[in-house]
Amino acid sequence: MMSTPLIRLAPTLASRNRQQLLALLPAIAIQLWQLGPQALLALLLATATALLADSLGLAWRRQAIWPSLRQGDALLSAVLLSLLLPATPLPLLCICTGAAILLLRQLFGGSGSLFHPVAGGLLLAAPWLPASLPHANLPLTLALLAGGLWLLWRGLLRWHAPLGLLLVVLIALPVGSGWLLGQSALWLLAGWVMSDGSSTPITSRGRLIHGQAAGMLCISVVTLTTHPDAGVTLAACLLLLSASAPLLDSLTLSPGRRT
Amino acid sequence: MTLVLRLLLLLLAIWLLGKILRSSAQKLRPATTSLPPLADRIDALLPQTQCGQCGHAGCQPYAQALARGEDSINRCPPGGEDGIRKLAALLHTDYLPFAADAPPPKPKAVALIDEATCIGCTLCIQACPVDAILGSAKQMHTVLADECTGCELCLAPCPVDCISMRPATSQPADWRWGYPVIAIKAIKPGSST
Amino acid sequence: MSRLSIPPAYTAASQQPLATLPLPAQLNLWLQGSRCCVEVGQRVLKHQLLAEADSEFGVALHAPTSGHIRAIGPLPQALPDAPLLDGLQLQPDGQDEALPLQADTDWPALSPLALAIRLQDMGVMGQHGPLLPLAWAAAAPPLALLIINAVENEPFLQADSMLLREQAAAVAEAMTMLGRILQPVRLVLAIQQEQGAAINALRSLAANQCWQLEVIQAPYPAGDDAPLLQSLARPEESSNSLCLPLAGVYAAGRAILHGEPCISRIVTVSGAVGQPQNILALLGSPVADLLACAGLPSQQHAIVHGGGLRGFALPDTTIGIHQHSHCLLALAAQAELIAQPCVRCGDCASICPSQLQPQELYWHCSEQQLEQAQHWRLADCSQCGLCSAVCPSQLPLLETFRQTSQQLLLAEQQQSATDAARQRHRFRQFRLERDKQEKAQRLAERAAQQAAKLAQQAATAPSQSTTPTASAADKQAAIAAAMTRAAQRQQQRPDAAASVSSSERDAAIAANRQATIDAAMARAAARKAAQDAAKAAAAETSADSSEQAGLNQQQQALIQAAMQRANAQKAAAASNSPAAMDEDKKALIAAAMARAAAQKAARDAGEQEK
Repeated sequence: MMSTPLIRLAPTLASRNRQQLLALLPAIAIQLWQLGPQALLALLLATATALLADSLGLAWRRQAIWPSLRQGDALLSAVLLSLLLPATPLPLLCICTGAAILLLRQLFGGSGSLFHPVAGGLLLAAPWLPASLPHANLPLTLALLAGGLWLLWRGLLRWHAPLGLLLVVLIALPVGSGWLLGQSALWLLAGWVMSDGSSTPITSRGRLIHGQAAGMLCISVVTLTTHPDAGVTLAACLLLLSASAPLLDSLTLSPGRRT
Repeated sequence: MTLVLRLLLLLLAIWLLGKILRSSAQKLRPATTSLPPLADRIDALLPQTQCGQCGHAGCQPYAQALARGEDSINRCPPGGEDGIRKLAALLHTDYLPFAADAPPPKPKAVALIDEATCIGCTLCIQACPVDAILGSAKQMHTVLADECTGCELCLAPCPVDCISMRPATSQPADWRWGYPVIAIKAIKPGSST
Repeated sequence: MSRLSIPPAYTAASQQPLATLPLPAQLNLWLQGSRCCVEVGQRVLKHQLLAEADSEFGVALHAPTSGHIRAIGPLPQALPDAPLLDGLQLQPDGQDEALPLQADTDWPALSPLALAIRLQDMGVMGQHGPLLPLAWAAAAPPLALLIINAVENEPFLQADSMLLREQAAAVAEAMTMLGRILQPVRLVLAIQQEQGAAINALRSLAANQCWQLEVIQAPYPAGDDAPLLQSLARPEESSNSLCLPLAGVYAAGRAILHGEPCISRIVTVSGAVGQPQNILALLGSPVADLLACAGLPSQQHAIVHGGGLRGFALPDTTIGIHQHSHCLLALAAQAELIAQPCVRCGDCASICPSQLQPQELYWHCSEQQLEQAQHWRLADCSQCGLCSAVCPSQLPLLETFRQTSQQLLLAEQQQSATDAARQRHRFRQFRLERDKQEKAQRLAERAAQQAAKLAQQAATAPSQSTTPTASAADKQAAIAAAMTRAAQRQQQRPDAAASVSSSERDAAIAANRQATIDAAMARAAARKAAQDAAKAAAAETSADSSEQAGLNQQQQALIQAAMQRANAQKAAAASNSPAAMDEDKKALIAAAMARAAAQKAARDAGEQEK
């Protein structure tokens, strides 16, 4: 029996993920150009690990493997992680990717997981990252910006949370947060992680608050402590705020007016 | 001296705390007076078939017995397991499976009088707890199907056994456009293209 | 708030001229709320009445063409899950022989109710049942706003646009007719921005007419009655407005002005067909014929009835179309979808026209938490299907909401039935109690009267010579009556032992009763004489304690006697068996004896007092 509706007015999960991957293509190209074959190897290894970990998790949860794998969530996460951790040793990248997928995605119920595996993977890799401040990577940032704008134009970017974050960063410019704008990790997390539905609140107001809170937390930590890496800090903030998303939901959701 | 003072202070603090707790408990107590009596609330959950399968003379007496704690909640077959769950929730007791000696639940049925056999004795009219049978002496009787609760109390008194129970199903003719429909599977008479 | 846009209506079909379906080999008609008044094998002519409305919600059905009735019985119908409902198979004979049409020349004199009944008889259908609800027409409330709804109620649909384009003059005529009879303060034709071609033609028609043209800008669910009323009705009009579908209004015009019953409708056939187009088809035409007319390619397709958002797949293409078949879509068969978990994207909430939170509602509905579902306003869901259409996880939101709404409706019905049963049971208990009390009161009153009479009698007994005579007469009468009855019984018994016809028994009982009544009347006459004579003396007599005691005894005896009498009468009335008659006789004799004893007691008391 065929289910209603019979026409679709919005892309499915799979096609959304495909388009988000497409939007990442310029950034991937820039990274390949900058880092050479090592980046390609990292990308392929991360992808393979993510797919394997996802299949394992699905099998363990007794879910149908192929239909879920086809959606491309794990693939997208792997590509994002390989872009975020360009210079890390390959075994570390694989461990982080696999652990993130298994612990943060599958353990919390697959695609509806409250915690984004990319943020988790970044945080897992944090202790081994170089302590020095990564320098601004302008071409990569521009490529990411272009991809994000394309997504926005296609109507596929849930822009409330990223907007909240950017607003806070812009307001905090006098404090000296300007260097954050040059960090490609910030743009990647803002455009591809914060625009995700399951790890953010449902309502637009909730998402705006989520983005602002993430921005404020991140800037406070970056300016008040000596930890230099904006990406890792933001990832930690995002995980913290994801945990509070249900609270924000319960505060901002209401059955609405009765007619 | 200070020890005595401390003890006094402690006692004072305990007394104050007790005061506060008592007054807040009074304020926060749920308004039980606005609720209807327990028997009425139980009665509202019972299926009102008035069939007497629980051993009482109707739903209200059973509700009263339950409210007094004199009977168990698993004696109402028409209410089904769902009914037992609701009663358990209301009375803050555990769910009980149906009593072994209670008749098993049946799907809802409606009495039907065989009009050819009926002799018009009015005995079933006197037995019907919800006045769902129409007729008068020596006249044929009939059951108002919409009002019949399916209690089966009219079956026993009938001297000619002309009453039977028919399952109460919604007819396909009840279907109206725009209302939710109960799925009925079609038998494919022809081949589809 | 990002509001997802609805793709503009699928315009391919509207560029084609209106096609007419060739006469199908068989018509499968649905007897919706109607009672068949033809027989299998009978030849019917075009426009002949096939079935008449069986209730105020049904409409009549007329033969779309001439032919023979092949079958009457359950047929799969074009409804969700294709239920088997009463239908009628008509085999056209190709001659299309029609009954002469009789136009209503005096239609301006019709009242709203007469119009509603006439439309029901002509088979003109609205959203639910007849075009004009009979209950509404009978109440005939003042009508502030009448909306003719020409807004397509699904994307892909063009049936209404095509009707406006092809039959603009007829639609205008029909609206004028409705305006004359129903007398609305404002008559509005609501059409959609996309129906551009029709707008200009209509503007020129609307110029000097009693109706206005309103162009609706809103996206998809705007074609439903509720949002249409919300957008068009002023606050003071909203409570007494009526919304009628365009197809029904056009059919009403044909029916009243030309006497032509509703036998066809325009269906949009679209999707993966060779040539998407609008087809004028007779009611009951098989879906397969319509698809063949639009050129269905050979590969496997799902046939969807009623639009892409709210429609449902039909399992079989021999099913005939009915009055609500706006649209048929052929869609390439898709692989079975596996719903993914909710990713909390919030798209459903942002597109919901009723501002609901479908993701919360879905959660509660699938967990069977009906109370929570009601709290999240399931009742306000218009079941437009937009949430399902945008859900990236392809969750079956619409189906779940439909199912839960239906559950709620059933629960509500069950609750009201339970309440009714409780009320009826309580009333029965009250009635039984009341009857018992009334009976007791009646008996007590009668006993008190008799006691008073007897007391008077007793008081005057020694001084009045008539009294003994009277009581003697009373006694004699009773004995006579009893003897008469006994004699009757004696006569009856041999017959009764054998088979006695109920009429004879009835006659016997009647005679018995008559005897009782005669005796009672004799008694009463005697008493009255005694009473009259005693009247003067009675005033002076004062009752002392011993008399009171005597009276109490008398009263009790009388009540007992009365009850026995009542029982005996009841037994006589309720049973026909000779045994019961014996009992009856015994009871009556006992009653008579009791009466006599009571009288004796009263007399004794009187004598003692003396």
